[in-house]
Amino acid sequence: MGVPFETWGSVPLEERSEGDCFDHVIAQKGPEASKLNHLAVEICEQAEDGDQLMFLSPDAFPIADPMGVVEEALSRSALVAVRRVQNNGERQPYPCFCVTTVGAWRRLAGDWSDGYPWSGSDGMRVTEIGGNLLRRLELTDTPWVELQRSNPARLDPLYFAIYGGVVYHHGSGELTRAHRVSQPRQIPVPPLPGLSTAVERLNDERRLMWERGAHKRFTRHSDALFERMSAGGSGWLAEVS
Amino acid sequence: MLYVATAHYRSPRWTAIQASYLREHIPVPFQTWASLELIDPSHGRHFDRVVEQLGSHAGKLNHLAMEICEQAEDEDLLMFLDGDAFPIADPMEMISDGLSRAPLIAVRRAENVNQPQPHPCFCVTTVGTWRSLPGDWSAGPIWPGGQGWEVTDVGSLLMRKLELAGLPWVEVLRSNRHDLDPLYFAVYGDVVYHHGAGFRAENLSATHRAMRPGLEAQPRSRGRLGALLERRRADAWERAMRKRLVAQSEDFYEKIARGGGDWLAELI
Repeated sequence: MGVPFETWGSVPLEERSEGDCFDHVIAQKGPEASKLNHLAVEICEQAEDGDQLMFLSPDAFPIADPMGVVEEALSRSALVAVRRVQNNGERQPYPCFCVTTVGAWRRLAGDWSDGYPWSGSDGMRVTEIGGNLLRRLELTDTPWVELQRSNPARLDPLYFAIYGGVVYHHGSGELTRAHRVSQPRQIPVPPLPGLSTAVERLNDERRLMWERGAHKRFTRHSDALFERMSAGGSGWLAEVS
Repeated sequence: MLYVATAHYRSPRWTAIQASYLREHIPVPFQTWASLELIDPSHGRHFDRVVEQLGSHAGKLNHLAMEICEQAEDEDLLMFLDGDAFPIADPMEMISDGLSRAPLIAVRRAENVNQPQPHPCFCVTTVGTWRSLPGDWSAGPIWPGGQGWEVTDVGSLLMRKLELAGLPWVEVLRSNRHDLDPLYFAVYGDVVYHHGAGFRAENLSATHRAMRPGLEAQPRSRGRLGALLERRRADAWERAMRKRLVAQSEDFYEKIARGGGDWLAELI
C-alpha cells in the first residue's frame, strides 16, 4: 500500500491475541455482512468524507500496489469492487475487495446484507452478500467499477484468485455453484419402486464422492500455497498465475 | 401514510391473519409491503406490494425498507412487523406518544435474557429517521448474554447507530398478564401480539435453554463419560422442550385462526 492507512479488524473472540495485527479491533459477532456493516459504522464515526474505505476479506490481500487501480476507478465511479462473475454470473460487488470513499458509503447508506435477488447464469433466482449494496447502487444510479479475475482458474474455478492483477483472494473451500458445474450429472430416477430408491442412493453416493474429491483437491492446493505464502517471497504467485 | 414492512418465510399461515388484524386495528391509511420467500405467490393478495427477496431476515428487512424509502416521504411512518406479529388494538396512540419522545419505538425483548436492542417484531419510525440514520437491522455489536458469553442478534447494529447518533428510542415491553411461555405468545405494550414460535419453534432460545433443570448445579468437570452422559441428558431435555413448544404453538395458532378474542383472554 503506497498511502497511509489504518486497519480495523474483526477477530474471533477466542483469538483476541491476533488483534495485535490491527490498528483497531472491534468486538463483534454474527454473519459476515453484519460485521462489515458494523466495521463501516465504527470507521465512519471517525473518518472524513474524503477518506477511502477498503473492505478486504481476511484471506485476501494486495499483491501489488492497488492504489493506481483504485484511483483510476474512483475517478469515474463511486465504488470499485471484485465481481465474481465466474460464480454463476454473480452480479453484485463482493466484499473480498471493495474500495469507496467514506462520503460515498454514507451517501449510499452502504449495506453488505443479502436480500435483493437476481437470476444466476443457471437461471435460478439467487441472492448473496452484497445483494443490497447492488440494489442501492442501482436505485441511486451510481456506477461502479468491477474488478474481475485476472489469473487462470487452473487450480480452482473460484478460489486462489487474483483480481485486477492487484488483489489475491484465497477462498474458503466451500463448494459453490462455480464448482457444482463439474459435479456428475444425476442419473434419471426410474418410476419403479425399489429401483428408484437404489438409483437415488447411487446419485447421493456419486455426489458425496465428488464432494469429497473436490474438498481434498482444495485442501491440498490450499495447504501447499499457504505454506509457501507463510514462508515469504512471491514464488507462490507463479503457481496461481 | 404508514408503510408496514413484513417478512413471511416458507409458511403462509400468518398472512391472512396478519392482514385481517391490520385492517381491524390500523385506523390510518397504510400500505403493506411483504416478503414471501418460499410461499405460493397467490398469498400476495393479502398485501399491497410483494417484494421478491431471498436470504437473511435482517437483509430482507433492510431491502424492504430500501424499496419503501424509494417512494415514501420523510414524514411517512415505517413499521416493521414480523410475519407472526400483528396489532391486537389500535397502536397509533402509543406510536404517536412514543415518536413525540424519541425518533424510534420498538419492542425490546427484556424477557429474553435481557436483550438490549430494538427487535423488528414491532418497530416504528419515520422514513426520514430511517434514511438519516441510516437504519440497518444487521447483527454485529455484542453484549454479555445470559450464560456468560457475548451475544449479538438482529437489531444490534440499529441499537449501535442510535447510540452513536445520540438518539433515544422508546422500548415497548412485554405486557402479558398470563404467560403461557416466558418468551413466546407475547403481547407488547398491550397493542401487539408476537407468536414467536411461528417460524422457528424447532430452535430453542437462550431463555428456554436456561430453563433446563439443574443447569446451575452442573460441576464443570466430571470426566469424558460424565460429560457425554450430561450432553445426552441435555439433548433429550431440549428435544422434549422443542416438542412441547411446537405442540403448544400449533394449539395456540389454531385458537387464533378460529377467530374471536378468546385466545387473547388467555394472555391479558
